[in-house]
Amino acid sequence: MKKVTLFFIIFFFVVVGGIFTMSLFYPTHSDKTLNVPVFNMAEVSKHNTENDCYLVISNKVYDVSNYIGDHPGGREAITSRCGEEVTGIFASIHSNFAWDLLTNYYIGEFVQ
Amino acid sequence: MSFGKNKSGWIFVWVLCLFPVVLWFFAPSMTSRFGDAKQIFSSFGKLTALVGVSMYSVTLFLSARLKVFEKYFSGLSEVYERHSQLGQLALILLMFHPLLLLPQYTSSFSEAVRFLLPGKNFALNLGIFSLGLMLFLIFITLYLRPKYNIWKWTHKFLGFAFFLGSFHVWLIPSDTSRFLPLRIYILGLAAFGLLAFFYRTVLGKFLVSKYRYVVSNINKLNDLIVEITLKPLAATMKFIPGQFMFIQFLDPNVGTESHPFSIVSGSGESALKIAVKNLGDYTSKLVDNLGTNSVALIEGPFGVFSYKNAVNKSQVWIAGGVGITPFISMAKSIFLADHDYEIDLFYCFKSAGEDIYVKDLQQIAEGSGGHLRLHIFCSDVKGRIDADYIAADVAGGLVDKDIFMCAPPPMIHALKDRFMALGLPENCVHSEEFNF
Repeated sequence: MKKVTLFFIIFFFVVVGGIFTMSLFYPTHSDKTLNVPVFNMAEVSKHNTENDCYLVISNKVYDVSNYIGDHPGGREAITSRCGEEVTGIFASIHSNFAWDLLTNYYIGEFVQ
Repeated sequence: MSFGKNKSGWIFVWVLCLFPVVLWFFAPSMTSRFGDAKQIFSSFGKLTALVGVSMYSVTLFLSARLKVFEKYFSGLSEVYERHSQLGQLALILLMFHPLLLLPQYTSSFSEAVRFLLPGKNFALNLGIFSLGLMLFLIFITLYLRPKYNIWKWTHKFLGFAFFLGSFHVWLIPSDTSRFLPLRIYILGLAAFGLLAFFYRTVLGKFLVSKYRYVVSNINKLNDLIVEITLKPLAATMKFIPGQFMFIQFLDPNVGTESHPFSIVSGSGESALKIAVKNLGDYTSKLVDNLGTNSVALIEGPFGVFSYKNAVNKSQVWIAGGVGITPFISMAKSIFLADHDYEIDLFYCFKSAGEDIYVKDLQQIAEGSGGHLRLHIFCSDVKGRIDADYIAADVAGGLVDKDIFMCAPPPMIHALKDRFMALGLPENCVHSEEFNF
């Protein structure tokens, strides 16, 4: 059993080390070559109404206009923050299924 | 009474650890669990966390050294063996937990790095620190093997690592936070694990009951081994021949570590006796420095290694070196009330001078009317003993006999493998290894 555990410990560090190494060779801005739209705060903040609502979460931009009516926490929780960066409050409240759901509304990357 | 490998405890452990998987499938999800590759990875990432945390909780529970566990496992030795196995399995699963979540929650290597490193998210940080501490401490325990007192001190911090992990489970938004039955189960199991940890460590002095004895005599058996006689200061500990106990001597010249020792005295004796061989840091202090009138705190008795718990009354006992100690107690006790036992005792030691208790055993053999036959085996003269030699030397072979072994682990493993190959039923082969 000890040998099996050692194998997995080494595997874990090899994978993590590999991710760290690759992040040096492929920093974030290189991902933009994947033809994904890029938004800055000026552009996001224009989409600040109930019918046209963008949110920035973890450097990604989401168009949640079609979701507002389904939000379990109520419409105002979202509409009061349309056009803003909301990573902190989103991460502190929402479960991982909400994160899963969010991916359906992804429209692009955010840059400062 | 007979006992075989009692698997009920291990089965129950697996039920406890896998039940959250069942609950998880009932937890509502607005997206598919296994719709695409990312969701599959994410779902397995969540499941590894649920099972890993459950295993970690049960591991702490098993380390509480509760006598009741002996009934459902094959003695305390097996409880600790399962504790170690479960702890390693928990670590493996928990290492996979963050890795399997990466595809769903990150979309670049840089984001993956940010996910794996501590950041602004307190709940996430708790998980990272918990896993990091667990990795570090288990690596020390399994592969660096520090001195016993250092190992024991560092091992206690695994309880703290689990506390951080439980806090992470409590705070992180997840299926566990959203689905009440799962939340109650996981956090409830974690709470039991933490309670067991506190019972044994922080609250041990107050809650763990111990017998108070005093060292009345120290008899040097040879250059390396002493026999220590202990008399009760209050209640007397009752035991079954073959059992062991944990002793903590309150002697500053020896240190206050608690260690397991087989009981050498017979069931008819009022005093407790142990034989200690100078094998390392603690035992060398014990052999050289322990004085009479030192108080000893005794926890026990533990163990199911006894002729009373066998299938057959015809038995083969195999002792390697200081592993003779439980057999001395058994030999002193076995014919006091029952003369139906037939015992072949193989006492193996490396060289002359290491053969402690031979005269006592010869006297018992002579007094048994032929029911106990003593086979002396000196490996310097005859080489290593093996199972085939034993099978040939025992009248009637090994059929319908129980075999008891107490010896260094490599000797036990070699003999056990060969006994199994010779077709002996597993429930008739018993061994005692001290791997605490």
